[in-house]
Amino acid sequence: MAAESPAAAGPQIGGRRDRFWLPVAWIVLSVIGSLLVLLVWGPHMPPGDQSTSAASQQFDFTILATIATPVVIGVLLYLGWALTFWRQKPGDETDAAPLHGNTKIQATWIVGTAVIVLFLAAFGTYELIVPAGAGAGQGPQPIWKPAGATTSSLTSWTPGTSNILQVQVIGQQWAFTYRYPQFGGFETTQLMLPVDEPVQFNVTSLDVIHSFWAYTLGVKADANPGLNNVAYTTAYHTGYFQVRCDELCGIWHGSMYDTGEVVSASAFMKWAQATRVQLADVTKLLPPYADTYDPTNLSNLGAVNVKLGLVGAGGGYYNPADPEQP
Amino acid sequence: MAIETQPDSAQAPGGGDPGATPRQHNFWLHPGIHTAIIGAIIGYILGHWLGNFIGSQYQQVGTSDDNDIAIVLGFCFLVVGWLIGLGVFDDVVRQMLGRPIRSWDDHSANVGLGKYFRYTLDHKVVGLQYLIGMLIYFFTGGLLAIAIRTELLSPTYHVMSPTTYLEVVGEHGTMMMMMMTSVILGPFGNYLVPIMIGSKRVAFPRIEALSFWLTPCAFLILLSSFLLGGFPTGWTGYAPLSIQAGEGMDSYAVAFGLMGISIILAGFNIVVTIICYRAPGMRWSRLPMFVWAMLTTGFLLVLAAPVLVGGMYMIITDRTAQTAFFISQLGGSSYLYEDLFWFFGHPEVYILALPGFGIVCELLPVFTRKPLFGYKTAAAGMFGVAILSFFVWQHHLFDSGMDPDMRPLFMLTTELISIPTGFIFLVALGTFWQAKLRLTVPLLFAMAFFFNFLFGGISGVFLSDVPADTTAHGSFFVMAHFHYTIMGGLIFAFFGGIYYWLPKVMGITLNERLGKIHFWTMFLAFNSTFMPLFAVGLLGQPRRVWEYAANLQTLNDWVSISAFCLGGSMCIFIFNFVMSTVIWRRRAPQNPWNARGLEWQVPSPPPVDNFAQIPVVLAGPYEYGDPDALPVADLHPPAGVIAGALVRSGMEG
Amino acid sequence: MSLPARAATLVVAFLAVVAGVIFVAFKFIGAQPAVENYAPYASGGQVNVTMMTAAQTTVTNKPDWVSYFIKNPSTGNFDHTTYFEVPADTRVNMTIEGYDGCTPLRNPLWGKVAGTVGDVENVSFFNGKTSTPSTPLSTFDSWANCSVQHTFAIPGIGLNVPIASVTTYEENSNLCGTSPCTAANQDANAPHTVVKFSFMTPKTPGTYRWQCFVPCGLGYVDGNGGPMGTPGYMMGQMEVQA
Repeated sequence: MAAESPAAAGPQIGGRRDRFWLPVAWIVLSVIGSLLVLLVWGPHMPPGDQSTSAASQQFDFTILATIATPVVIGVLLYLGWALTFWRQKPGDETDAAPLHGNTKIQATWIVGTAVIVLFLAAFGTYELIVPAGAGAGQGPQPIWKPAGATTSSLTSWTPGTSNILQVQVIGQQWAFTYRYPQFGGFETTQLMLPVDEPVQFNVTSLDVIHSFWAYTLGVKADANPGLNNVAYTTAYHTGYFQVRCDELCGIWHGSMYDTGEVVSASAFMKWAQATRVQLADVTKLLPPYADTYDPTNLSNLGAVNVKLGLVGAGGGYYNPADPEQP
Repeated sequence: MAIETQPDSAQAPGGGDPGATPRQHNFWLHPGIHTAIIGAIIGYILGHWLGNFIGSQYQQVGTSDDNDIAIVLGFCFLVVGWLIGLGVFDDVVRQMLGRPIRSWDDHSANVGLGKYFRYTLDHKVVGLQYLIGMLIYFFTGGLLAIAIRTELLSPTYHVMSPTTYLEVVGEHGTMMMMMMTSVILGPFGNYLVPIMIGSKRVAFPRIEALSFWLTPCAFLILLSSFLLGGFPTGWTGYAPLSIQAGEGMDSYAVAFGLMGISIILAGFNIVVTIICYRAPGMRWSRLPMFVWAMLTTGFLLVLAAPVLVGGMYMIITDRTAQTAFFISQLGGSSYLYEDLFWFFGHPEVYILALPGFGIVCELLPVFTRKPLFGYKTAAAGMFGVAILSFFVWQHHLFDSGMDPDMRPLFMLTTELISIPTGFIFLVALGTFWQAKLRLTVPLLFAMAFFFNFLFGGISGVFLSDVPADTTAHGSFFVMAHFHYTIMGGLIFAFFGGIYYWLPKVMGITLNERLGKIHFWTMFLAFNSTFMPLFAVGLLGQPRRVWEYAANLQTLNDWVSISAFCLGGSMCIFIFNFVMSTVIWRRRAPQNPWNARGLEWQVPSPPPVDNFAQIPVVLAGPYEYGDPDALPVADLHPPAGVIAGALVRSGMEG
Repeated sequence: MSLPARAATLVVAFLAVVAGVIFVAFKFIGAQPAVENYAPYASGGQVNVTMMTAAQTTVTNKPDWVSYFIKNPSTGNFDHTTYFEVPADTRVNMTIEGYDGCTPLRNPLWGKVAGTVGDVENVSFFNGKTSTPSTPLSTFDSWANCSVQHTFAIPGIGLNVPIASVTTYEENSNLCGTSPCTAANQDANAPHTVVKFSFMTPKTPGTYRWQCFVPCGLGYVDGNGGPMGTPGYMMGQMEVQA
C-alpha cells in the first residue's frame, strides 16, 4: 500500500511496524476474542434456552457477537494504534503524506463488509424461518409454523398429539389475561404452559397497543386492537418466566407484568381441568372465544342499554352504530 | 451559476429609495421577540375562544371536560400570532401592496445584540440563533433525562407519580428527537455552508429565518404539555393511545407538526443553496464533506418530513374532528399510524446521523494533516445511507404482527445499510493511517465519535436480525443502541464542531484545558452510562417502565450515577462556553487550526457579507501534505479574469 | 457592556435558572399526593378502610369525571385522594360506598370476585328509601344486567372486586350529583350500594398499584382515558408499610 506521491511533507514512518504488526495483533486478538465469545459467553448468552425460540435467539446472539468481535477489536485497536504511534511530534509543523486513497484497500473493504452483511442476512433469514418464526409475532396469517404441529382441534387438547396448544393472550389496560379455548374457553390471570409441547400464542388487545413479551421463552408479539398476532414456541425446561408489557400502553405500562410457569404436561392438564371447573360461572359470561374482540359491537352488550333505556354507548367509547353527534 | 440575481424591487442597502439615509433602529420599536410574544398571547386567546365557540356544544366535549378543539386552535392561532408579531409577513404584505421589500443584503438593522432577537435575513445571525436555541433545547432535554434516571434508582420506590414519569419520559424523548433534528443543520449548516461554498447568501433567507423562529414556538408548545397533564405515549405517539390521551397530547401533535414544517423549510433552503450558489471553481469534487452531508440531509428532510406532518395532522383530526384513521373499531388501523410514523422516523435518525458524519470528515484532515482518504467513497457512503434509509422502516415493526413475508427483505435492506455506513469508517481509518495527529479538543471528540458509533452501529446490526430483535425490541438494548449512535455519534460531533468552529463564528476561543476536562468526563461518563444498558436490555427490562426486576437494580443504579456525572460534564461545558463568550472573550485568530477550508480564509468572525468579492475556488479543502497543491481559493480575483481563473483551475479546456 | 455589567448579568441569570430548575423539580416532578394513613388505626391484626365512588367530582376542575374518594381516618371526611397506607400482613376490612351507576365491563372476567376472604363481597342496596340486608355475592353479569359500577383491583396481590351498582333505571337516573356524596351535601337520599370485603395485605412492604377495570372514562376512546388514566381518580396506590 504505497503513498501516492513521495513524502514531501515529512519522513516515512512506521513501515514494518504498521504493515506487519498491526494486522498480526488484530488477527491474534480477534481469534482469542471470538473464541472467548463463542465458547465462554455463548452458553450464557441471553435470553437463555428455556424454549425453542429462546435457544435459537441465544444462538443468533452468539454468532452475531462472534462476528462482531473482530470488527470491534479491529477498529479499537486501530484507533489506539493511531493515538500511540501516529501522533505529531512536538515542534513538527509539517503535514503528513498526501494519501488520497487506495483502490485495493477500498475494494477489499467494500467486498468484505458486503460478504459479512449478506451472510448475516441469509443466516438471520434461516434462523427466522426454521424455529417457527423465532418467537416473533407473525400476524393473523403466520407462515412459519412448528414442524409437525397442526391446529386440528380447537375444542380439546391432549399432550403428545400433533394438535397444537392454543393460548390466547388478551392485553388490556393494564393487565394480561389468558384464555384457553381448548378447555372450554376459560380466562385466567395466570399463564401456565406444558413443557415439550408446541404452543401457539394468539395475542390481541381490547383497547390500545400492548406487547406480550415472555422474556425467557423468547416470545414477543404486539397486542393490537381488532387484530390477532400469532407466535409459536415450545418450552424445553420447566420453571418460571417473566411476562412484561413491551409497548407503552398508558399510565401503568411499567406495572403491567406477571409471572408465568412452565410445568410438566400432566401437571398442566390437572391445573387446566381444575381451573375450568372453578371458573365455570364466569366463563358463561364471557363472549364466545374468537381471535379478536370488539367490545363496542357485541349483541348482548346492547341488552343492558335496551333494558335500561340508556342511549349512547356505555363507557363512552365510540359506538360504531351511533357516533357522537354535536 | 446563479450568484447575484436580484429581483427588480430590491433596493440599495439602507432601505427606502436609493440615496435615502439609513434609519436609526431602536430595538423595542421594531418587530422582534417581544412583539412576537405579544402576538402569540393574543393568538392563543383568540384561538381558544374560537375553539370553545365551536366545540362547547359537542357531547364528547361536555362529558370529558376536555376541549381539544380549543387547545389545538389556540396553538395554531398562537403560531400565526407569533409570526405576525415577529414581522415574518411584513415583506409579503409589502409586496402585495406593491411597496419595496427589504433586500437580503440590507443589514443596517443588524446592530448589537438586538439582532439575535429579530427576524433577520443574515444567515450568520440565524446560525447563531439556532446554536443558542439548540443548546437550550438540548440541556432542557438533559435535565429531563436526569429526572428519569432519578426515578429509576429504585425498582419499587417511586419519586414521582406514574403520570409524571411518563410525561417526563415523553418530553425527554420528544425534546431530543424532535427539537434536535436541526441540531447541526441549523447552527452549522446555515452559518457555514454559504461560506464554505463561496457564497454571500443562502438561497432563501426568509425561509431560513422562518425555519428558526418556528423552533422556539414548538419548544414552548411542547413544554406547555406539562401544564396540560402531559402525554403518555413517549415520543413515538402510537395510536390509539394517543387518541385516548388527555389534553397534553395536543401539545405533542402540534409541536411535532410545527417542527416538521420547520425542518422541511430548512432542508429545502440548504439543498437549493448548495446546488445553485456555489462559487466559480467549486466543483462537486471540491465540495467539503460537511457540505455533502448537509446536501444529503436536506434531501432526507424534504422527502421524509412531510409524511410526519401528515401523521400528526391525522392524530389531531382523530382527537378533535372524530375521524377514525387509527381506530380499528371504526374501520381504521393502528398499523397505519405505525407505518406513517416510521416511514418518517427511520430517515429521521439518518437525518441525525449524517451531519455527524459530515463534521467528523471535516475535522479529520485538519488534525491529521492528511487529505481525506477516499473522498468519493465518503460521498458515496452518504448518498447510500440517505437512499437506503427509505427502505428499512419496517425493522421497527418486526414484532407488530404486520405481514411477515416482508421481514427477510427488510432484514436484508437494514443489514445492507451498514455497508455505506462502513464507508465512513473506511475513510476515517484511512485518514488516520500514518498521520500526524494533533490531539486538540475537536479531534478528541471526532475520535470518540468513531468509538461510540462503532458500538452503536454494531448493536444496530444485532437489532436488524429478526430473531435477535424478538428479545431486543422495545428493551433497553434499543435504548443503548440509539443513545450510542445519536448521543455518542451526533452529539459528540456537535461538541467537536462547537470547539472547532466557535473561533470562526464568534471570534473567541474556548478554553482548551476546560475543553479537555469536558471531553474526558463526558466520554467516560457517557460510556459508563450507556454500555451497561445493553446488558440491562438483554436481561429483560423494557423501555419506558418505572418498575423493573429487582436483580437489575445494581446495574440501574450504576447507570443513574453515571448519568448524573454525565450531567456534571455538561455543566463544565456550559461553564466554559458562558465564561468564554461573556467574560473572558479571548480573541481568536483568523485560522487557529491552520486549516485549508474556505471558511478559514475569511476573518473571524466573518464580515457581514462574507466575502468582499465572490472568490474563485482553485483546489479542494483537503490537500494537505502536497507541496504542489494550489491554495483553496483566490479571494480577490482580478476583475474580468474569471475565465482565465477557470482555465487555470482546470474547469474548462 | 462592560465586564462588571456582564458578570453581574451572568450571575443573576445563573441564579434564576437554578431557582427555576429547583422549583420545577420539587413542585411538578416531586410533588407527592395526599396519603390516607390507616396504619395507626390497625388493631388485632385488622384495619378498617372506607372508600367511596362518586359519579361526579364537583370538588375538582373536572366535574364530569368519576372518582374514588378515601375516608380520612382522623377527620372522618372523604378526601379526594386514591393513596392509602396500611400495615403488612394485616386483614383489611374494606367498605366501599358506591354512588355511581352501572357501566358494562369491557372484559367480563372482572365481574368475578377474586382474592378476598371467602371470595365474596357483601352487598347492601339502598334505593333512596330503604336498604336491603347485606348479602354475599361472587359473580356479576354486567352485560345482561345493570350490576357493576366500578372495580377495585390490586393485580399485584390477585385482588379483584367488582363494586355492585344499583340496578334499575329510576335509581340510575337519580344518582348523587355532587361529591363526595354525604349527608352534609344533601345526598342522604341518593341511591347507592355499600360493599364490604376483606383481604390480607402481603408480608413484604412495598407499593402496590390498584385500578378500576371498568371503562368509565366518558368521552375518551375505549373509555380508558381521562379519569381512568389520571392518578387520583380511578386508580391509586396502596402502600404497605412494615
